[in-house]
Amino acid sequence: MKFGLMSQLQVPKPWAADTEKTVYWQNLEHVAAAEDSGFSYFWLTEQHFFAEIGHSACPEMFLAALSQRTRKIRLGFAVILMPCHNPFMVAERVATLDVLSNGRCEFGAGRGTAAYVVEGLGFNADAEYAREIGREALEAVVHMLEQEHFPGYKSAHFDLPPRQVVPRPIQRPHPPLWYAASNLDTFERAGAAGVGVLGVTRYTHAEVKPHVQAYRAAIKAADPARFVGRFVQQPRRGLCDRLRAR
Amino acid sequence: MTTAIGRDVGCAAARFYYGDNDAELNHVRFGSSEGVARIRARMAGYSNDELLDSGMAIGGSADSVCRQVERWAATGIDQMIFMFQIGHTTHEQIMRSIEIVGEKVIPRFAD
Repeated sequence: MKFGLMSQLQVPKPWAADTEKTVYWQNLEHVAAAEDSGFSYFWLTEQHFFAEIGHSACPEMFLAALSQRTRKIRLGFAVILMPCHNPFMVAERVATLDVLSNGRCEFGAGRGTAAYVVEGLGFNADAEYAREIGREALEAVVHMLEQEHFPGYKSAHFDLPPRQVVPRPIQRPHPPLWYAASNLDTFERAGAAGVGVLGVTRYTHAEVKPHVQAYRAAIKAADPARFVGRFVQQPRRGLCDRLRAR
Repeated sequence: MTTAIGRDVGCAAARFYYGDNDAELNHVRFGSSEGVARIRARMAGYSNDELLDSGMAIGGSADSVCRQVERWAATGIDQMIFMFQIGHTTHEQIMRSIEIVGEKVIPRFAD
């Protein structure tokens, strides 16, 4: 079993002039200490506007700072709100973190479950719509990460032109992919897509267990042609140690 | 409470995390001010034992934390992710928790 540390940079009140800065800098210390203690992963959420609850609005910048203070620990986006960003810029940020961290980037993707956030940023927060556009954006980003010359991408919501997207990630064909699972049905969907699942403990052990099993079964039964990434997560064997052609 | 990753600290953090806090935007997270009141009442209604037993919180001595992690391991997961920087948990408590987990928990679950 691997161990990870997660943060969303909470800044509970009361606030002094330097409270936010203190929390940021202390969180950097936590991750360096976690690496020394044997934690294998650090996961950082992306949140906007949620004062006190989550001040992690620019995870790529925080993770970039960590890339220079750590050597081994994996640095994970948990997760990038796919409907809220230009896909080219997502690919560029993921690849940049991978370069700065020498191949330690983990790429978690989600749709953004808080309408207050998604709409606040100017996007449609309808769950079905956000899931669909998020899936398309992720597919486009994987193409950008994987190929030196992105051939363009057409879908229901995108018509992206061919471009050479730089920088390229260190990890080939791309950093490991994960879905955020705020509800249990996502486990099976992640399995079918061949990506990892980041679950949350709003559920009991007994509630989670069948969904972990469903995830494993879905990955085994999935049609590789439908995988989002170019390789599947290999549970209990370390991540991404076996390539599988699409 | 036998160590810094004590039951009280862990359970207080969990209550904060799940919504028992004064954040202004909670009415957005939980739908309405009634939603906030409901969440707060529900979280406040759980005893520490209930939070730990249901897996909503982790805390206690290193041995106890190992048993709690073992229960999650038994669901088939292959990574246990801790959130320590929650609510009013102090920097010192967080650093100590990281140290204890590193010394006494992680080695027991070596692959």
